[in-house]
Amino acid sequence: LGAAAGGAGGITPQQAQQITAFRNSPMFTQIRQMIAQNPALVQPLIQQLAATNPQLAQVMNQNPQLLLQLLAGEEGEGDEGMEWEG
Amino acid sequence: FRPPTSDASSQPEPPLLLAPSAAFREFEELVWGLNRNMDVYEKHDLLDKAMDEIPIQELHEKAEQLSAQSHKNHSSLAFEDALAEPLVQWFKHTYMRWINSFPCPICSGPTTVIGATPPTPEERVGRANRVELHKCQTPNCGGLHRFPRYNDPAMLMKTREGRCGEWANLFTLFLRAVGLRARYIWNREDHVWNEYFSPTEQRWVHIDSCEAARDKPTLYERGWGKKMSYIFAFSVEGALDVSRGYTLNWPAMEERRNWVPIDELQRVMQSITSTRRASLSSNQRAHLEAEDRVENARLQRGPDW
Ligand SMILES: [Zn+2]
Repeated sequence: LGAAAGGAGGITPQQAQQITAFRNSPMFTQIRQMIAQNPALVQPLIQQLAATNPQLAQVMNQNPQLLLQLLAGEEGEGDEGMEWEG
Repeated sequence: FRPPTSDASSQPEPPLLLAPSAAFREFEELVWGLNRNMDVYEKHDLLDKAMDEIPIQELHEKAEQLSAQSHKNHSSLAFEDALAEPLVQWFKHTYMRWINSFPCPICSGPTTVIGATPPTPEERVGRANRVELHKCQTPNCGGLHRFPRYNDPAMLMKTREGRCGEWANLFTLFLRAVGLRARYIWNREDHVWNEYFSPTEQRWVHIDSCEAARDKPTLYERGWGKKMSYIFAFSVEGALDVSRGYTLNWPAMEERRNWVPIDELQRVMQSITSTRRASLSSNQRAHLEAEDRVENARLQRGPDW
């Protein structure tokens, strides 16, 4: 996160935490996969993100490189599939 | 994420301001994982394989008959609903095998589950994360049967056996294969089932392949006496908390719902839906949002019966 948070935007500690939480969330895994398959989805995804996470979207908009930096980060753990009981 | 405080003074960082609780992490991982799995049922090779399994002509004939019959007694079942009915009957009574226990592979005597074990590489190919071990009860026999809980529908079309997890998983694919919009329904009290969209009735209809039950949403609460808390629906178009559609006693269900705060729950489900719909045109999105409004109003009223 260091590089990302040290970007031009002047990110507050709270925002940095928010970014870390996002970076570790399953939503981020999903977004990374979608953008890998279709890079044109970056903008629509940020717009959709804004609807449910306005603060996070604001950080993203203030730091246009941030999402790209996050996306370029190391690969997350592989998808092991789900387990269902029943 | 909690909204950051607007207090700009440089106090030491409040610890754990945004650290989600273990319960929230569990919830978030679960629903995103279930959501991700919905892409499986759109794969053309799987849908083609499913069509090799489904006796579609026979089901279509039965659907026509059912539909015609229903018009005679003025209950008018539309074609899609008339098709879902023989599909679920065939799936339960002809196609799948329900597994409670296995006979011992050595002496054919009864076995009991003694635990779980990691899958072998071969079992992993069928996306089994866990293998149940069933051990022979006969003294000194030592017979052991492995029951890999496969998640890959292609593998399930070979084994054609399991419990509700395997059944609801494969039935999602079969609903899609016959051309219906399908949902995978997860219930926290250890059950899963499906819904399909009825274009005529313009609503999502409950369908449980393990019970061959269609449009009987109160089956669990009234029929089985289950005390449920959370019921989530997943489709390629998003995720929704549909709990209210399955209870006639919402206040009692609400009492049991202490997993995650409702606003955080709604936000995560909304994030899933938004992410799902990011690639759609604004027209398509508006259409789905109109459907959402109708469904949310319906959910407020609870099940019809
Ligand atoms: Zn034995």
